[in-house]
Amino acid sequence: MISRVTSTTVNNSLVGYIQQNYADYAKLTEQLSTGKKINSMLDDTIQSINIFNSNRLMNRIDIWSANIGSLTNEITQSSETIDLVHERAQRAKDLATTAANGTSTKDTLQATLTELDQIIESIVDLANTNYNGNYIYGGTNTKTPPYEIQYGIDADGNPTDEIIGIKYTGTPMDGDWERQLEIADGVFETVNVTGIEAFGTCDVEPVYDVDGTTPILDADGNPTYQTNESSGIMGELINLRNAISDTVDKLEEQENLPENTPQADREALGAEIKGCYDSINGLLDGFSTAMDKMVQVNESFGAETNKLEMSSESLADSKLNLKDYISGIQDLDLTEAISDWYTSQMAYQASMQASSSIMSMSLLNYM
Amino acid sequence: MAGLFSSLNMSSSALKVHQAGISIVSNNISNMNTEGYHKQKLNLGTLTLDLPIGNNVMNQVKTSAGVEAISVTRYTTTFIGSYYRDQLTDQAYLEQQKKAVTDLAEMFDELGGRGLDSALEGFYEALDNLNQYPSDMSARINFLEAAETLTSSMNSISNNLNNIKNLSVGDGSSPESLQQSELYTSVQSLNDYLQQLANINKQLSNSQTGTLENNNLLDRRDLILNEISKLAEFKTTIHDDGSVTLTLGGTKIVSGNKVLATFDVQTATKYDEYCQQNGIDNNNECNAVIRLVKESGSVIENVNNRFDTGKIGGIISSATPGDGVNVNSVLDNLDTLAQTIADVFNELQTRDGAFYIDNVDGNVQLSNEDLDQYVIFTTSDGSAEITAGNISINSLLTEGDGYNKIAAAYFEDYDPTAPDPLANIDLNAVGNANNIIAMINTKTDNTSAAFDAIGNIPLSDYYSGIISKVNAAVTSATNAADAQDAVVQSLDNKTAEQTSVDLNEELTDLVKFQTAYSASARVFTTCNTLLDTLVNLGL
Repeated sequence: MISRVTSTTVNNSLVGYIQQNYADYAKLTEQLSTGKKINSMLDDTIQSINIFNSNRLMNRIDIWSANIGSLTNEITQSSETIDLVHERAQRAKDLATTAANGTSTKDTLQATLTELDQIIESIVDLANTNYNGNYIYGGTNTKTPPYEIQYGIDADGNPTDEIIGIKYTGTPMDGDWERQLEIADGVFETVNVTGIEAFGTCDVEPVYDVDGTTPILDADGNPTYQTNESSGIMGELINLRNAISDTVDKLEEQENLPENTPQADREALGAEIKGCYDSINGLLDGFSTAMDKMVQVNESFGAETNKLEMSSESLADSKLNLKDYISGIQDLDLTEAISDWYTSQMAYQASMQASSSIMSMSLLNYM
Repeated sequence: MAGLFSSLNMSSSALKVHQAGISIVSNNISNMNTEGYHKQKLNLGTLTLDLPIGNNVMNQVKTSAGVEAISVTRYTTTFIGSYYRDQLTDQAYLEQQKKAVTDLAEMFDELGGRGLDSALEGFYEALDNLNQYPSDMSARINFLEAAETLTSSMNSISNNLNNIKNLSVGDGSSPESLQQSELYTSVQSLNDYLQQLANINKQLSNSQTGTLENNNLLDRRDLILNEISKLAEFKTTIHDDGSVTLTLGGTKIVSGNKVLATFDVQTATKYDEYCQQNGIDNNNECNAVIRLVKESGSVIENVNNRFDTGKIGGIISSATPGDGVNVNSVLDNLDTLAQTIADVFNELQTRDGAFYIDNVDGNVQLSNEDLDQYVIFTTSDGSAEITAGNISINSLLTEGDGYNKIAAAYFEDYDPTAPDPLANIDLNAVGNANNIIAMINTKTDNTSAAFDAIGNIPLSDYYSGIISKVNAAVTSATNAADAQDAVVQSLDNKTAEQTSVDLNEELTDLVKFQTAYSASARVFTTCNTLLDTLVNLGL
């Protein structure tokens, strides 16, 4: 027996087909309007998890890339600062070399001393460089300038304008001095070097009596100082300053010797002055070492910048790959989609046309 | 003579019968769009007279009695009704499950801009920024705002999930919320159908089989049974007169013309009170409890477990803690996530060696005084346990210059038991962000005990896990529901093929009966003419 086909079943199926075609058509239209195959997680519950995870990783890569940018900027700034300090230190070393050859007069050395003070002040300014709100050479002590110039006192304990030390007040090397930024999951790169590593320190204090205010004087009636710590270019600068200052004092003493000074005393003073020149000469090696230290720090910056550049490139590659991956899953192949869209439009129209012609037909039309 | 009159009688009965045939056609056409209507057919038979006739052919011709309407039958399916109804029950159950998990998945539609991930990642992004500028006011405020976004996102998702749950079974305590729930309305309509079925049973037992009225009642009965089976699965016994007995888990619910027991829904709180009064172990975990009130007045208090399928079963299972993914398990997961977030970051924030910034007379310095009270995450309702619904930011951090209390700095050497613990600590090191780095590191380092609750995996992985589980549940629920839809659809088609009204068929029948009617009328006229001729013979 032929199974019954009734107007009710035909109508039901026709409505079903039209709805299916319309749904396909609407879905393709939505995809075409957004350019994406997957617009919500419910569109494809499995692939959308992959898109979701990749999107999250891309966002993290953006943060890491930004961090690498900040790192590179600050390191460049630090490196330029060290270059400038190195330049100034070279000038100081040149002054020392000239002074050490023993031909300078008292006035020339006096002028050298003045220039040296200016160099010290400008180096301290450079070491106190503030970048992006932070004193970059202070370790984690970012809100106070890491270097302060210490001045001497007179016999009564009143401050003078004589430079006696350059004290580092930032985080020491054995403390928590590192400032770090994340450049990959759980990988942190250090942004800074401490001032004490790059430039050293020279912490000098006047020596006081037990009352803490009366300076203890030496045999000549001058206040005495004690050096707590001395290192790096800062230490060398102060040593040089002290040596030149001593030489100036001796030369002045020589100038002011009374006429009747015995020859032996004159010779003794001359030997002392020679000793002064020798000690200036002796500082030159220390200078070179301190300056080499700065060059070393700068080289490590260079190495770090190269490493960061590579990380940055590999992050950019990863991001590009992720983008490709997501686009492969999520993006619509327009050519295919448009052709599908036309096909589904035709199918929709055809189903409506066929339905309308079959539904309007019945035996009733022929009775 | 007798022969002529019998022809007259025959044609007059044929006229009546074919008129009746046209009535049935008319009934079929009228009901061709009526849901559940089965095409009916007039069964005709030759009318026999109960007389001794003998062998004489002429006698036999003379005494044949014409046509009679024997019965009106419905076209019925060859499918057993109970199989179809079982499929309907499964379909309703799976559909309900699909709807429930789809509602859940919509809450976590990350691609559609919902869910938690952007808040969670934003929180870590703010930490990264804070690491770069640990003493900066705007970085600190930015971090607190990101934390606030995280907590309010969790609050709002938790709230939405609870709303989903309340809409399906009520909040467990308030009768108003229960009465607006889907479970309540479904149970009410179940009761309505049961009453309707009892009425139909009564009418069926009073009507004669094979009649138009009986057929119409059977159509109505089938419709009601279908509706009932969409809600729940009953044991159905159909009696010879067409009436039905329904049984649920051994209790007769409808028998004959009576509803023996009706269903009632009460809140979990009410049920708990009942259990306490009667010393019963309450192992109910659903916000609503269905009870069975018998006609005799006795009550079976909790019959939730008798509804394991159908729409009602679907509602109960998607709102009761169980093995599968549902609103309860997701809420539990979110609560665990909230608790873990709070534990992890509060522990780092208040650990020994952590320092916040203190502004003493304009002089910015580190301090750890009263650090314990400056936890980051706390509850908004004062309860000890942190959940996704109540997690919030400690107001000590959000008020005034509270942002300074974020402990960005950390010193490993700090020893709280030393005579002067602060001796080795550089309190000027406001750029120290070691604690923030430790917080950022929780993205990858999940060994601390605070991570135990989520299985020592990153927070974001745990969250992805929730989404994956929900999405997988959607996939499987959708597949199951779609497959079941196809089964029911094909059964529907088969049923429609076999029982629905076809217009062409009816029109043919109409012409058939009309022609027979006209012909009978012609026979009548002819006989009448014959009679006339006969009468005029005598003139």
